[in-house]
Amino acid sequence: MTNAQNKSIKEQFLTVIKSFWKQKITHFGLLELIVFIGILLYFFMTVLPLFMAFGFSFTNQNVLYKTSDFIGIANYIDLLDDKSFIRSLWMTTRLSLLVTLAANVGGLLIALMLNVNDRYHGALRTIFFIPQVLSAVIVSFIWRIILVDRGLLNNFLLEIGLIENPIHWLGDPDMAFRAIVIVVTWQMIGFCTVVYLASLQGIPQDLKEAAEIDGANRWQQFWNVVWPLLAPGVTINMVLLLIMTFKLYDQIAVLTSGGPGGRTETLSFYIIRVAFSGNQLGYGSTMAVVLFIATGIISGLVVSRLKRREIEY
Amino acid sequence: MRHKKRSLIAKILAGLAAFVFSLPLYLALVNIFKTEEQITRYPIALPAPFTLENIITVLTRPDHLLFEGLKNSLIITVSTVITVVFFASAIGYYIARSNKRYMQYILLIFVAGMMVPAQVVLIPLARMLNWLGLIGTFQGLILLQTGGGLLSFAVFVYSGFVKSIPRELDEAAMIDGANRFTIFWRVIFPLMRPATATVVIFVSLWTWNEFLLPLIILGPGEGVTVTTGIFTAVDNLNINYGGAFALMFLSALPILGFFFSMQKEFIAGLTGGSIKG
Repeated sequence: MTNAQNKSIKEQFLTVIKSFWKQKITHFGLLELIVFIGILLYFFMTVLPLFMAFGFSFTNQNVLYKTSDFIGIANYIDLLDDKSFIRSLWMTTRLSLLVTLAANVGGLLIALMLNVNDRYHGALRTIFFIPQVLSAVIVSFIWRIILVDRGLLNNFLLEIGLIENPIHWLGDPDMAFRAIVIVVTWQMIGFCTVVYLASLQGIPQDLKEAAEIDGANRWQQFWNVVWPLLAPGVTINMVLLLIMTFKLYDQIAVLTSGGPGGRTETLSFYIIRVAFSGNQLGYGSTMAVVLFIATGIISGLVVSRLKRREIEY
Repeated sequence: MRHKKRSLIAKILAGLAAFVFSLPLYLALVNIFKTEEQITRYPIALPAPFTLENIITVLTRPDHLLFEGLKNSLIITVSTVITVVFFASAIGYYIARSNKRYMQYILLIFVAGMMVPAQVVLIPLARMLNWLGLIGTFQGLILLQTGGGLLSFAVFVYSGFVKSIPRELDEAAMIDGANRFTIFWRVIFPLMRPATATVVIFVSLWTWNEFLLPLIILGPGEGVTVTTGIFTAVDNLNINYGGAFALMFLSALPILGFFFSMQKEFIAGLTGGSIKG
């Protein structure tokens, strides 16, 4: 080979290496940097804390102690004996199921009732949706002022002579529970209504008319045509309502502060109380982990059962 | 004829249901303009006489609670929304256009984040932010909110939407010599307006109404938001009803205004995902 050719092979080799690295660097441009930072943010704010919480649950971390010890599954065992935990778990489950059911049934009925596209029904739809726009704190305070012992409802009932002594809507544990169910349902119905309305409006009119021609009455039309096609909306409403109500906190904090005597504490409320007021980060994390797993299981179960009902059309 | 009658009855029933449903709202509104004595004795009646005293009291509070709350909530909400939109749109676009297998797993991890209850991550995060010196600061709160379920939701929305934008646009821009960020920023992002609208609306709503996170991260009394402000202001033992309703109403005005001006987009965003599942 001549000198000229040698040089050119070396040069060629170098240019290949250079362009390779140039490609690698330009491939990691501004966009990739942003994505990388975003993923890092998510990692540090959600993924890492999740693992940390899991780790905390095996310790006796406390804000007041300088160090913490690894105590294995002692926290988890303590949970089983913790009456407040069991009570809050039970209460939260009942609350979640009741509200999910009520909001879905109510939401569907209202959606069916308002499934007419004119200004009158549009205005009514807005009314049902407003509680969704207000914060849970505001909604709960409005209801608290209505339901508290010297509140608007009791004052009204006393005024018209229906009762002689104020009723403890929020003071009696059972009444308080029912009151909470009503308040949360009231706030969530608008959400279900909107989702169901959207599903209803996606059902072609001809299907219903065909059934009518075939002699089906309105109930049969609903049960055999509309109801199966609502399945995706049902899935969404069920899952989202269950998840949202299972981690309920704001309304409890305002309406009852978990009282009386902690009888209306939801799981979330108890966790926050234990971890932040009671300074027990380890034990609190244990319960939070349980909450997380429970939420995951519930969503998984419900989604898989309901997804099967959905028809592709 | 039968149909007309039936639909009239249906209309009346619907109106009745809405009326009963809205009674708490009516009570919250009508009692703002009554004196305390009137509220106690005639909770349901219309104001007589009509008084603006409660509203004036709230507006002229020495601690400027309402304005502080509104200002802080606004700062936090706007910052969170901008940050979320910025990162989520980029991530959503990148993931949707990526050919790499592991990117799909990352998407799954993002979506799974929507299911994580705040309480689980709050405890370690409170510790972490404390260690970083960010506890009790707006930056800490914004950081936390941005990196959590809101980001998951936004990434979910954006990555789903990008799929409806044809790849040919990307390729055409690439031929014209643009680098990936320019393609994203100048070509794709403007086309994602519906997704951005959905994200902006829901992140704004959720952040504005957020209660637990500001309560724990900012701490009571340390820079109140609209929600924590109401919580600490409405004295539990001796609630001044008229004043409380006035405070709540004035605090809710911005978000209600936001809602009414964007009603269509609100509903569209809510239902867009539900029909396609």
